Amino acid sequence: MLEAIIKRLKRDRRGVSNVIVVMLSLPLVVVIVANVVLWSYEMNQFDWDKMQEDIGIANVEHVNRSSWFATQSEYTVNTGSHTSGTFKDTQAIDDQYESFVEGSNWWNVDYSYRRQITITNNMAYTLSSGYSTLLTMDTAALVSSGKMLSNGNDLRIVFWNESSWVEIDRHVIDMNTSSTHVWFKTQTDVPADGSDNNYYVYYDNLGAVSPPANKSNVYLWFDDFNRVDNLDITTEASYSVKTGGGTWLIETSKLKNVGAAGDPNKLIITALGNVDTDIDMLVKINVTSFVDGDLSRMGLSCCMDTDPSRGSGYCGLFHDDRDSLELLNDLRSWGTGGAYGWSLSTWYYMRFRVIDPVSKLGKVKVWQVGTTEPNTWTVDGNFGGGTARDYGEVGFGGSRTTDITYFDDILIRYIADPEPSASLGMEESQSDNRLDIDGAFVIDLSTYPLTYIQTGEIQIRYRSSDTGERWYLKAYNWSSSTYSDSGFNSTAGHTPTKEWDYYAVNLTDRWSSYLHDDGTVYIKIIDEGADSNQTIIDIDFLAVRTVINGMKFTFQNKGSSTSHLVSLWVNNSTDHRRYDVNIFINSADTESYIRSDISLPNKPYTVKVVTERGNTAVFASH
Amino acid sequence: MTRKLKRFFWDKRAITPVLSNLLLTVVAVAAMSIATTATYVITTNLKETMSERIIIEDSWFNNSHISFYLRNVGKVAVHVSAVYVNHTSQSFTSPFSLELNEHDWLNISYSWSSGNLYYVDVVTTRGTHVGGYYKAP
Repeated sequence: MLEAIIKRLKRDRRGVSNVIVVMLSLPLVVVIVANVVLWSYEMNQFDWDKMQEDIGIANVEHVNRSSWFATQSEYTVNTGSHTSGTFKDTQAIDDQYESFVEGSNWWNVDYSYRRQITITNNMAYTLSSGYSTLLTMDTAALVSSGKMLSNGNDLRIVFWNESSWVEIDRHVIDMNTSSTHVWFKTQTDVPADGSDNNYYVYYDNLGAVSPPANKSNVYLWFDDFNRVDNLDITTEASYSVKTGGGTWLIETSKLKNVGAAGDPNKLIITALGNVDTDIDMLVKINVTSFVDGDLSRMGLSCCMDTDPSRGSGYCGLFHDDRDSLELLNDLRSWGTGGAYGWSLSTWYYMRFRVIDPVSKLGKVKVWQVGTTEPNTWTVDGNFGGGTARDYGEVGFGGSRTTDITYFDDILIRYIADPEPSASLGMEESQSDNRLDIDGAFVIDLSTYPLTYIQTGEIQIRYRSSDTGERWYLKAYNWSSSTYSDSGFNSTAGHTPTKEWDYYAVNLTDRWSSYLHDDGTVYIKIIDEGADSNQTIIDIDFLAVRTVINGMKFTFQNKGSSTSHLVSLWVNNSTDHRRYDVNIFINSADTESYIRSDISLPNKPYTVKVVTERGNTAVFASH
Repeated sequence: MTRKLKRFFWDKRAITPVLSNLLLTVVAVAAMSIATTATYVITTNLKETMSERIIIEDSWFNNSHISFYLRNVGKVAVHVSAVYVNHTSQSFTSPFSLELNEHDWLNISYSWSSGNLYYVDVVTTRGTHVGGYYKAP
């Protein structure tokens, strides 16, 4: 058949061109028709959808409160424990509740008591973690009452890192006195003018042994030189550089310097590298041979650089005779000097401190081991007229002649000005019961912009098994970085009943301190204090809302498809105002929409809402 | 080889059919190009005309102005070419165009009288009309 057609076409060519023209034109016609028909269908569909849409405004009213914002995540239990329910049970008033029971977040049950330590940063800038902090406490009273071992083995410092306990090394000085010094390192930064109360001192464990007391973990640097004799300490990596002359060796667990010609004669603690903040240096020093004269000098040094040669820095030194303590800027100038009579072969403490090296101010004091450290500095002056130095290496200053000096127990720590303070809270017993829970609540700032919020309110619906204990609502203050109820309309707390009860607080004009820029409010529920009753509380509802001056619109979608509202108009005789909205309403659904940036105009007014498809619904006031 | 070339250039037979075929091909290609371009233009114009949808969200009789808030809800950008009030062309801030989903005020200077009825007709460059009767407050 096909062959016959082809033969026919080959024989008779009159119809070929017509066929070709038709074949070429056909795709064009098909394209035109398909394009137009398909597009027409699509636009008809669009118009049909628009015709099917049926949106209405059921009501418009003035509102002065936002909707409630409940937590969307589980509460954090700081003290006590969770017993039943979930955070979802606290999202609505429906008698579905979440339960918590009091308890104690206790580090170690072998210890019966503890006191909270609050570290307060007194500076206008952040106190970095790793700062050696001093806590002063009366251990004599605790020992005499049988709550603490006289050797202090059960005196433990513990840090709560918001999820677990960490026991930290401490250095206890003057144990079993009314003024025991306990040194420990901070574990986190403390904000400027802020505080950190996550530290505790635990005690009362008769079986306690071997407390963590590694001073290297308490201070920036500590070395008691308790190791085998070494004729050249510079063979150790931590002290690998000495400058000038003289020898530095370890002898009978002490650091020994035998002076010789050279300048500056230093032993550098190379393990510390360049120390770029202010430090306080303390060492035991014992001079057993002293030639006398300008070349006789020994002590401590910091801010060392290489100008004019490595080891040049600020020093606090015994110098010249056995009645002088002086400040020196190596190879530049002698500074302030003071009188201090000292004896050969006697151990003394020497403390040397430079605050802000550019100021060229230094302090040094000496007192005999076994005596009380004086409150005043022997020398509190300057490093003379030479050019100031910057932060640098630290170490020991040795003699330029044949003097022999022993050093021991070198202790270096960062020093802040003013120093942070550490205070103790009330004594807590392991048998004391408390409950402390936090939750995160996020206010929708796209609906309630910060600009239109007048204040905030927190409300709880709860019941308690113990009606004798008050409960408090607090919020995280973003300015002071602590939970607080400062500025709340009520800070007296609430006494619950065994039936469902409401307790609400208003954040007053201080609300902005408690609301983060992203709308987050952290709320804490905490009991009055520790007691022997293990109270159970059931929380049916806990939420936060804002106080506003806005409008609430109720939209109804009576159509068969989802509507997308894109424009909202509020008109009266003097003003026509349009607001962008972005609301989707399912078919047969009713949606309430609150805007805090819209004020109700004077009547009569009309409210219009426009859908993405171009339909309009109108509400007219009466 | 040279003899073959000479013969090729000297022999004039069959040149006419070659030329006529070439000319026919050029004409055919040109005709198809014109037809394809015309198809594209025609369908594009048709589609754009069909795709135009604008609505008047709000009308505001304000002092000596009548303002209309227009929203483009169609599938193509629109350009307003004329505005008529009571079938009389009015001046407006021109050009007035709205991209997809765009919306803006269209202001007309017009001395309206309270209580009067006005027929407003907004016309786009593609000929789409939107408008209606509006009573001045």
